[in-house]
Order: sequence, then C-alpha cells, then structure tokens
Amino acid sequence: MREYLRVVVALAGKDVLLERKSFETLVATASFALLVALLFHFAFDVSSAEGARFFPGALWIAILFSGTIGMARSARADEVDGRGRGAALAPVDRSAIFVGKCLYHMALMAVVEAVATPVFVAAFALRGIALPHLVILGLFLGTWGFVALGTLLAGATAGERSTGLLLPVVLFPLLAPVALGGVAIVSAGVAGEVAASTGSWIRLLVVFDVLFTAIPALFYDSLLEV
Amino acid sequence: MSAAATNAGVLNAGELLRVAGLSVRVGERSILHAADLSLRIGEWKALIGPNGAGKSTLLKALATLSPYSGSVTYKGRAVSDDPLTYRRELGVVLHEPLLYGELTAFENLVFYARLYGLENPRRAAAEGLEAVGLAAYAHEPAGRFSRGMIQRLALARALLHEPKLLLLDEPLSGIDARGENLILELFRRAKERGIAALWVTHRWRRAWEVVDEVVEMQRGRIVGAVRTAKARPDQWAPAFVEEEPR
Repeated sequence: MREYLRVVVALAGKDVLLERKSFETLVATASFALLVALLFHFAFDVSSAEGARFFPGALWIAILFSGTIGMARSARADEVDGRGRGAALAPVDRSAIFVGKCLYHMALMAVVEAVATPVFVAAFALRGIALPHLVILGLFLGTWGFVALGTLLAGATAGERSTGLLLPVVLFPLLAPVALGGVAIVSAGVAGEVAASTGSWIRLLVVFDVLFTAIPALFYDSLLEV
Repeated sequence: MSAAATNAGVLNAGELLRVAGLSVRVGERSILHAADLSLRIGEWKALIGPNGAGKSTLLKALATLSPYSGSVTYKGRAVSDDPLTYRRELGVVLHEPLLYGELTAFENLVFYARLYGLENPRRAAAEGLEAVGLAAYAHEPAGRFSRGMIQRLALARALLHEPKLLLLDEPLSGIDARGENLILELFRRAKERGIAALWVTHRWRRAWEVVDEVVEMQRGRIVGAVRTAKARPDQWAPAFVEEEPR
C-alpha cells in the first residue's frame, strides 16, 4: 500500500511540476471560472436575496465547465508522444495512474474553487454564508465525483481529435447527480437551512464518489490496453 | 523435463524469458502469429525484419502495453500472474521516448526513479545522466535535446532501476555515428552486467557487434535466426530484401 501511495504521489507531483513550468492549465481553468462570474454579474442585476438563490447554480456551472477544460488539457498533455504510457511500465497496479491523476485534478480544482468562490460571492452580492462548512463539504463531495468521472472520460477521449467537443458531451449527462447534489448542499450552506433532503444529497454524493472512483480504478488496466 | 512441465513454464537453467505461441490481434487483423522465443540471462537478441513484420508489436506485448494471447514466462513464472515483479526487472525503450519535454533531463529521471521506488531518486537520476554522458545537460529541458540525446536519456530512464531485461525498439534510429558508438558502448556495458535484451533494429550489422543472435521476422512470424558467434555479418543476409542503411 505504501508503494502504491508513493507512486500516486509521484504521478500527481509530476503533473504539479509540469503545471508549475507554465501555469497554462491553471490559468485557462481559473480564467474561465472568473469569466463566468463576471458574465453572471453583468447579465443579471441581482440583489442580495436573489443572489443567494442563484449563487450555488452559477458557481457549479463555472466549476463544471472550467474543470472540463482543465481535465481535457491535462489528459491531452499525456498523449503527446505517448509519454503517459511511461507510468504504465512502473511496478505498481495501474489504477495508481488513475488515482494520481484524480489527486492532481482535485488539487487543480481546489485552487480554482478557492479563487472563484469569493469572486462569485462578490458577484452575487452575498452578505455572508450561514454555514461555510456545509458549502465546503458540498464543494468537496461534488468536485470529487466530477473529478473521478471527468478524469476517466478525459483519459478515454484524449486520443480523439475532437476531444474538446466529445468530453462535455459524454461527461455532462452523467454528472446530473453531482450538479443537483452539489447545488442542493451549497444552497443549504448559503441559506443556513438544513433540510432532511440535504442529508440525502450528502449520502448520494458519497455513494456516487466512492463508486466512480473505485470502478474506474478496478478496470483502468483494461482501459489502458484498449 | 516433460513437455507438460516445459509448457507450464518451469525454468530451464539460465533461462530468463520464454515466449510461447504469442499472438496479437488488432480488431479483426492478426499482427503477430504464435511467436516463440526465449532469452537466457545476459543474452542479447536482435529482432529484424521489414516494416510491418510485427517486431514493435511483439515488444509492446512483452512490455505489457498491449493485450496478447499465448504465454510469456519470466524466470519460470507467467507474467500475467505477477506483472509487478516482471515490470520491476524490465527496462523499456520504445520508439517514443516516454519523456516530458517541458521537464529537465534530471526532473524526468527523478520522476521515473520515484515511480520505481528507488531509495534516493535524485542520486539515481544524477548517476543515470552521468552514465549516458548527459550530466552537463541535466538542467536543460528534454524538449530541447537532439534525437541522439533523447535516445540516450531514454536509455538512462530504462536503466535507472537496474533492470534484468531490456526491450529496445530502434534505439539507433535517427542518430549520427558518434551517438551510435556511445549507445553501443552503453549496451556492451549493460551486457557485461548480465542484463539481457531483445533489440528491434533495422541496423542489424551494427547490432551484430553486441548481440548473440539475430532473429528474423516477416508478416508477424519468426522465420529464422542466426547465432552471431557462428557467422560473420557479411556471410549472412536476411531473407527479406531490405538493404540496411550504412
């Protein structure tokens, strides 16, 4: 297990190092998220009360769209000269490649969300967030499911010429539980109104996250050979 | 030893790798047909043949990078039963160098040293670069390297974890005579250390200087072999009509 984790960290560390050389993926992903905040701000003249209602949906739209761009770029980077296959030669279960990529994408999205969320708060004129820990939990669980499914499908479509188009088309329909659950939990956190359904959404997202991390990890070896 | 025991993959003395009935299909197309091959500890074999003969396909299957049918045993044990031990002792140089052009030569090797769990990745990377004569370029991005330097770096990557078996796909392609000599010298040193290798090449006359056997492939089949100790390169010619670049 220690060896497995070491390889996961090495793979995620390599992606962080590649990112630090240019910041291309981070800049593209974060810029897109901030642009969405700006567009919503100017498109809708929202007062604070309305802002609290629209904020969670708008934030999740920005996260899903910008994250898709980031994951597609990151997967394509491994396709250059087939260099991503070097990791498949390592003496460790190949699911580590998937888990390492998920870890990197989680880190990438954490930075994007840390930058974008305060901007969205300002853009939607929110006076405050009643239950910040619930918002963070909603963002974490939603991002985990999004990243797990996105990493799998970005890897599977990276070799296609039209990956930029193909990835959102195959990814977004499958993300319905993440989008709905993420919006519901963040809404509850912003308003400070925890309903019975909030717990159900949290449980649903946990199940979704575990399933969509474990199943691809189990079959990643076969996926690499196709 | 009974035939049954042999088929089960019981280790012959000194035998490192045995390939039996290895076939690879891509869709409906058969690329490799029932290849049989064996390699002893420290033995080097060159795989030659025209383009499309199945040489690289065989190498990728042996590198566990593509699915195959048939049996591959390493030290008497089926590779499919214990792929991790096999990969720990395997070094691979493919046509693609598997290096990140944005990272420096040193960073590339440190990354691979970490993947292989080496105790001191930075020291291993520095020693690897020294061994292939690239220490002076350690902190240059690999993307700026010439083809010859890339091949040497790819070789350093493959040798980083001191493998017992090397799979080499055209390591001399696109490099000049000086680079060739450097790489051949590295191969000789690797062979002296007891590393075995399967080497895909079109430059079989140069390979003759290092390998113990030249194996010829055509249309996905192994069609012949010659022991280099029993002939000189000018006394032998492969069945396929293809003049080696001189």
